[in-house]
Amino acid sequence: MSAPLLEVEGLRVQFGSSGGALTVVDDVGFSVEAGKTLGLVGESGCGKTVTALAVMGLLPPKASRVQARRLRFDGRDLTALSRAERRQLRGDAMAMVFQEPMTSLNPAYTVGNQIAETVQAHRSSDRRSAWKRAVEVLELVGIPDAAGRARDYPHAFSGGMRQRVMIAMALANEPRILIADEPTTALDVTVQAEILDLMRSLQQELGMAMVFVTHDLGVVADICHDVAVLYAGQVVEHAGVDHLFSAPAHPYTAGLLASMPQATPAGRPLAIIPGEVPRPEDQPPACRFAPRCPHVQARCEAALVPLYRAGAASSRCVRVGELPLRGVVSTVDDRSPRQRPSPLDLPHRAPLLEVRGLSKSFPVQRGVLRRTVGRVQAVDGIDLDIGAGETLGLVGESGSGKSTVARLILRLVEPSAGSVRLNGQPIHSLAAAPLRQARRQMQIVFQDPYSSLDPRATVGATVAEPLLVHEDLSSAEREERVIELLGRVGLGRHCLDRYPHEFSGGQRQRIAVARALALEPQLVVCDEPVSSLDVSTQSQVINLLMRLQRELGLSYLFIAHDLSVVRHISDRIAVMYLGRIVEVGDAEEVYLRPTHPYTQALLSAIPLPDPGAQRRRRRTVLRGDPPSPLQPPPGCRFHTRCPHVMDICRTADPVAVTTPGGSTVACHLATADAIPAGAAVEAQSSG
Amino acid sequence: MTSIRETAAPPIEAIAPYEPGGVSVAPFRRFGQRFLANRSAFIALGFLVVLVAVAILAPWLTPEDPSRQHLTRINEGPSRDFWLGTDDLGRDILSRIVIGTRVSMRVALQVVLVATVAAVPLGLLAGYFGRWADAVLMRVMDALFTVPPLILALAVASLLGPSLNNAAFAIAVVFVPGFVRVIRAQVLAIREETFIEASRSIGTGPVRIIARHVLPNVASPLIVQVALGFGYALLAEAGLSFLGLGAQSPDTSWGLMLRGAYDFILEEPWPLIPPGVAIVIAVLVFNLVGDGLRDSLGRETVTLGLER
Repeated sequence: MSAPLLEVEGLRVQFGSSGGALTVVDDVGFSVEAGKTLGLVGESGCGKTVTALAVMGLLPPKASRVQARRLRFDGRDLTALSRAERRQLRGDAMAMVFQEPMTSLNPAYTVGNQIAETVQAHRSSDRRSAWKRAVEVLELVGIPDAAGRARDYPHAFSGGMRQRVMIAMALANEPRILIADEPTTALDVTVQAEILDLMRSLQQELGMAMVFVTHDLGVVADICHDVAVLYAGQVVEHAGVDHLFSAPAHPYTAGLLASMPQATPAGRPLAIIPGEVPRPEDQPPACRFAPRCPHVQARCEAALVPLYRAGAASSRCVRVGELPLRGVVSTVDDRSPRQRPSPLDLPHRAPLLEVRGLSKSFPVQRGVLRRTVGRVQAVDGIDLDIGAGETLGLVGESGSGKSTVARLILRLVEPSAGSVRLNGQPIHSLAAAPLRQARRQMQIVFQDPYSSLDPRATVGATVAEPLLVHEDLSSAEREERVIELLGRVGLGRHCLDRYPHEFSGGQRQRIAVARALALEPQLVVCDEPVSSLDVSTQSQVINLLMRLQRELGLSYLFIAHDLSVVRHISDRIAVMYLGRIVEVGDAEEVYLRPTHPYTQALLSAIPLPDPGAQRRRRRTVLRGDPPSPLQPPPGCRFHTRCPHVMDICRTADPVAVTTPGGSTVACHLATADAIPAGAAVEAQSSG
Repeated sequence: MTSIRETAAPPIEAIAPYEPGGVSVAPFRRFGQRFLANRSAFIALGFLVVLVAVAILAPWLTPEDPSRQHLTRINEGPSRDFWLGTDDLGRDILSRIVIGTRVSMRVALQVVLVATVAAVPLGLLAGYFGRWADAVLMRVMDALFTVPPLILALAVASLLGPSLNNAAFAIAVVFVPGFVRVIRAQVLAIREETFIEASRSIGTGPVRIIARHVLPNVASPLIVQVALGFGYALLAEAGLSFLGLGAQSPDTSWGLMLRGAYDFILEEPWPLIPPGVAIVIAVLVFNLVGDGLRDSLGRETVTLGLER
């Protein structure tokens, strides 16, 4: 066993002036060996990124103070190095990849130029050889036609490709350690799967150490060897990945694992960690997790808690070893029956929402005269039904048109073609005044609770707005209703006069839900309501939505890119690709027996929160990025990335057919399903 | 096997509703704290208070009747009798500066008020509704932008006669396009915010959306623009009065005082200095306050700037 390449012990980072210094990272320690990957996991505000930046020496020296009992890289004491020496290390032996590939590259220079610059900053090489190295690393990260693409500017690359470029840049000087800060968080799952595969294979090839900062336990299970779990600026658990997932030693880790949607049978309330991560200024004095811990005892709040050794792991918990903490048991094969049948299965029930042939194309305008040079077909003839009290999940990657569908149904955007009926009433053709009336029946909860609430309006005013518009109430009656609504979403009456900035993301999303419920709508469209929230907060909001549905008989259109969340809450799931619905069916059917190759790929791209299962599983990895909706491919739109592509897919649009499992699928393979697979290939090759 | 779910996590129903702790921090209070932390803006604000007080109390503050002429003591420097000296007609410069403060401030206020009242609805209209309303309005504004304030003031003066009110009107007209642009740009950004879409999805009508959601969010940059506008208006008034298109004798304003002193610039330069310094200080005060407002009127967000 080799000596660790990076050793961190007792790392403490403070921000602000000496008088009001805020300790953001406190007593963090970990080590990484060459060829190994350490995961730094935790929710936002726990100090993951600050730790990574402190190790890199990238924190602003004036505003921050970094101390460490030990901060050694390759035997050298990093704290003893001058700023110039730290800079020498950065981009050379220590490299970093950031979260946002869209803003991490300078749009004014070609990517080859930017990589060559990194090379020249550290190697005394001339421009030609630096450029050659740039092309080499671009090839290494799997960019086709690297020599030509090196001359392209960043805007010519998609998000996934840019992240490859960022990785190439980090690798240009053959670093011994690569620190990656949420490198796949901004990417779609299928692209994320590719990038994770790439990083794993590069690590094996180059033998470097990696520190992987992420909030996604699935990603940890996929790529990490060791894991340090951060909570409120401290490492609360440090263990090998298999050990961590099978036998967590800290209640926070166990809570995170339990709140993953996969850990609970679909339709049941998710496990939650009550409360929120404390802010650095109001850290609990002893065990920082104590206020949220289900196993808390008096001694937890008595004294500072050190890291205890517990077998192969270490845990910052005084009750370590005595707690019955449960790890993840892979529940992918959980075939527990649905709790209730889909309302649409009941005969003679007209659906609440009927969408037929709904389409939307946006003009693409160029130049000074804003000439229309093309049209983006964002949504292309989709049909959907939602029954009363039913949840339809709508999944797809970014650019698939999910959010446009939400806006079309609510008629926040005018459809180009097709019809939307709510209770038989044609929403798409209503005049302004009746449309405003019809809006009572359908409400929306948006993705980003930070921008969906007016920063200048109090919470009370925000929740009261629908009542003010639609109902003739006295102000006392209105206030009473608002308090009742806030109570429904778990917020007290003192929230009334507060402003949105005083609330956390999860609480803001509750406020948005309260506003959506004010008029007692029948349909609530949830447009990625939990994707900007942390795992523990996410499960709180999902539980809330499911409880409200039970209590009020709501119907949901639940839009998300995370299939495991959608499966958990939905009765049926519709999968979208490039403006079309490729598969609709019962949630369990779609999740467990996906028929369309795209659904299969989407499912296999989700990293499982179970390292063993993740390693055993065979993945359908999609090659390349989704095509531009500006020029959708002819025939089946998925054929450019489909692993099972046939000749017919390139020319003919597949007709939707019903599978034996009851799903509706638009795929030529499903059409040919009656014929045995071998015969299908023969028929295709002879035809 | 017991599941952790039943033992560990209480269902959400069992949790008491969240009540925020501490004192509510209204957006305005945070603004006040931030503004007061800005030293130069704070000092400028002190000066501004003095200026406003002088303008309001001017008739009671003048040591002399500002129009009284001491023809034997013209163009004198500072002395015990006349703290800031006398002008070419032997009038007390200090008294005239004090009265001039009132005139200059009044004109600046008139200009900014007229321009704001005209520009706010136009900017909201152009920004929120867009399309043809925007196209027509903004072309008209572009046309107004091309008119130099001086030429417009000359035209107004020749039509209506030179007077302080006419000068104020001319300056206000020139100010409108700038204000409209600031408001429109802000409205264009606000219009795309999700909370506007949220209001539309509720069924809120455009008038209410503009009044309740757009206007309050446009207010901050507008306030900054208004503060800076005061300085420019003051400067423009001084310029027009200097050219004889603004305040008319025997009234006075700082610009007019410069005009009078300008004729004797070679023989007696002293009378130029007090009105010049007064103009510089007043404009500087407005600009510093404006900058301070810009820095402290931000969106209300709580971030430590650490993690997303």
